[in-house]
Amino acid sequence: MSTPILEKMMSLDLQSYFFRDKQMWSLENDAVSGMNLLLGDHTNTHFSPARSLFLYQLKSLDALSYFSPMQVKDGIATLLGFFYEHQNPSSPEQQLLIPKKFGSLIPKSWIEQIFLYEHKTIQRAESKRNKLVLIVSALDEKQVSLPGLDRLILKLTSYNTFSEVNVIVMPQKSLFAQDKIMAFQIQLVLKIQKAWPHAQIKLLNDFNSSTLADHCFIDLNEYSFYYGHSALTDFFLQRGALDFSALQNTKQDSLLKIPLSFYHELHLSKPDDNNEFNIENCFSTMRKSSIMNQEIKNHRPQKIDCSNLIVAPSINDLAWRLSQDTKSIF
Amino acid sequence: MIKLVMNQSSHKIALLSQSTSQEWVSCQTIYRNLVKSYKSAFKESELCQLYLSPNYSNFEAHNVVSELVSKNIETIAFIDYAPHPEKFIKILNEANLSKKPDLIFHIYGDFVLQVGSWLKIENDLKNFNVKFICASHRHAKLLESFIQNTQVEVVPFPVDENEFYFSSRLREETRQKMSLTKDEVICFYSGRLSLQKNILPLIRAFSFFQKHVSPNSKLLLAGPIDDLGVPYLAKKSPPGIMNFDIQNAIQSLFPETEDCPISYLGNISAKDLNATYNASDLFISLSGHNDEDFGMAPAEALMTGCYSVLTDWGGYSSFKRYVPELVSLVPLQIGISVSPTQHDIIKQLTIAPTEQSLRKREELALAMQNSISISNVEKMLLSQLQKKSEKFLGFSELFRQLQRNLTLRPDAPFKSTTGYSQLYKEVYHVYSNT
Repeated sequence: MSTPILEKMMSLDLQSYFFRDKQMWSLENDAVSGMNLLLGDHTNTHFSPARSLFLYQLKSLDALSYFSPMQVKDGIATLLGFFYEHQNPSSPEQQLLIPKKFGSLIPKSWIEQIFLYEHKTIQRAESKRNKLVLIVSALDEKQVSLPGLDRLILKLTSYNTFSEVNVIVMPQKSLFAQDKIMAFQIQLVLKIQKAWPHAQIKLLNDFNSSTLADHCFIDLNEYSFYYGHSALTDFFLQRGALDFSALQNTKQDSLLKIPLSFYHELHLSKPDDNNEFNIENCFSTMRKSSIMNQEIKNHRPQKIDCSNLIVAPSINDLAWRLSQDTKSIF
Repeated sequence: MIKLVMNQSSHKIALLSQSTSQEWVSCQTIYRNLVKSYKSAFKESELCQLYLSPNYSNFEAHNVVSELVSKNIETIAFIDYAPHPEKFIKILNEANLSKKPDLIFHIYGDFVLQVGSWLKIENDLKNFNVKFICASHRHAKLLESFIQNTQVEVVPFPVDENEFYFSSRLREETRQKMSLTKDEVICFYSGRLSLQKNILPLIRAFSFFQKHVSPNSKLLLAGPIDDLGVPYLAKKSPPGIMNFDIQNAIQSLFPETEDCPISYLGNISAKDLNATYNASDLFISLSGHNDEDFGMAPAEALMTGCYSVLTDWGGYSSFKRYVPELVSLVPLQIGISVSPTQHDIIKQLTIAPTEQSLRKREELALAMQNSISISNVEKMLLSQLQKKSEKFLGFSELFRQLQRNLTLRPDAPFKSTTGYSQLYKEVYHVYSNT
């Protein structure tokens, strides 16, 4: 299984070339722009041998056939929105790489065409990681809860006495509910400051030319509700920082390891098709209800904010319920 | 901010620079070292330093000009990479001065991109005696093609001899720390790992060299990895692609990762760089970057007496003039990219003397020091100050053509259907030996 997908990823130069032209595969409407603004720098372009995207941006399944495999960066909400809308793939060409933590959320009809991915930092024995970067971009408690942050702080303080703690606050670009988001982020920063009084606020650019082989980092994204992978995570992995949230994933069952930098690799594995949880049961309940089905199909948000995403409220609520079961370091 | 230094006997000098550090590490180092050179060249009473904010206002410029006037400054040296002096020069020209100060501009590689700002002050500059100082001979040639009859002088960017020097003890200690045997040949590249620095051709050529010529050799890489692509050709790269391409090249050339002779050291400190240059037998940089007006990394390596294989491009070629025995130059071509052929790289690597005696290396390091160290640049600056500056007569037609091109095609000013445009070749042919 692994060789064909690797060949596909490494040899499709022409597709990669055309993929740079976003118009070929990306929807351009107010809802997509609104989601991009809401997620901010997490949606920035970054290189992946499997072209990376958010599924809510995808124009059609045909585009997926052409650019397959694609590395999906969505969180639970828009991932479920995609699977609800596209009950089955329309072609065997349509292959997706999905964050490993969402392995249990894949409908059976898609499972053959999906690989799970996670990023692994290549740990070197001499690396002493006594510096910490915390990324604060949380929109609300669907991204990180206050008790969750308390638990994380406990884990981090017992993991290491960090000589340097840096906090990067990503400002909200969306016009809606900026004040609420800012207030929430201030709460998070205050908690961090209390735990590490020497913590400093930094800009992402401060780390641009640095080697971060002595750094740990963590993006406060407890529930992976809005996004599952991000350009910011990639930024730190590229420079050698260790993703603290990936520390607990010790099981080595990867089919394929693709080196992405001197410091990190992309690990691919197949989803478990004997998974007890069946997302299709949830979907079929929703489909049976004509009210819910209509609501989901006719959902055309006028504006996007945390409580009004590109996916319908029913999908949103299902995603929130399931996201609390997603394994996390928090 | 700007700093001014003055000489009581002839004239007083002010050094003008930015109030905050530059983003580029090499520019920070150059600025720091230039200040040291000026400070050693002039007495404290002769020299003053003044600063401008990155986005200074006319008001701020006016205040700085007032300060210069109150101090009877006769020469202003612009020593920093940014901010551009456009607003400052306009205010200075407007000031009612009985005698206008002479102007010295230390020119950095981005001069070409600042064409618009320079042309805006063309008429103001005509009221001054102006001297442009470039850090290398080919960059001076480039400048000469842009201006009419005005002096372009060459003074290298200084390298701190207290930071970069040869030490046989340091070489031995560092090689021991790296667990290197005596017969292992260490090739080293430091600087940005970027597309225009031709890192991928370097890795491919090294692979051939290691497999067929020198099996005991290792390649060390140090510096930040960037995805700047080729802005002149609007070739943008998504973040992460350079890292991936380097990895991919290494893995395909050396599939046995356990024994891979290429290592990445990260972005290391000046102290570690000096130790690594000392431990190395060969420094290699194959850059074809349009901004290669000098080359701080090769300059630092050469200060340790490390034999260097460099592209015959821009500022690099000046190092061969300083100490011919220490440098070999690889020719390069301007085509789809600006890069040397694999054959030419391997040829130079093969003939490079990798087994120099330590005594000889020390001699060569000292010879390079005599050209580019802070104390030598100090002397060169003094002699520049003694030479009279000439009236600025204006910019050339080529410079205006450049501006039209940048205005019409700001995103890809030098792009043609086959790679670099004719204008690029016309402008940058002075950077190569062709």
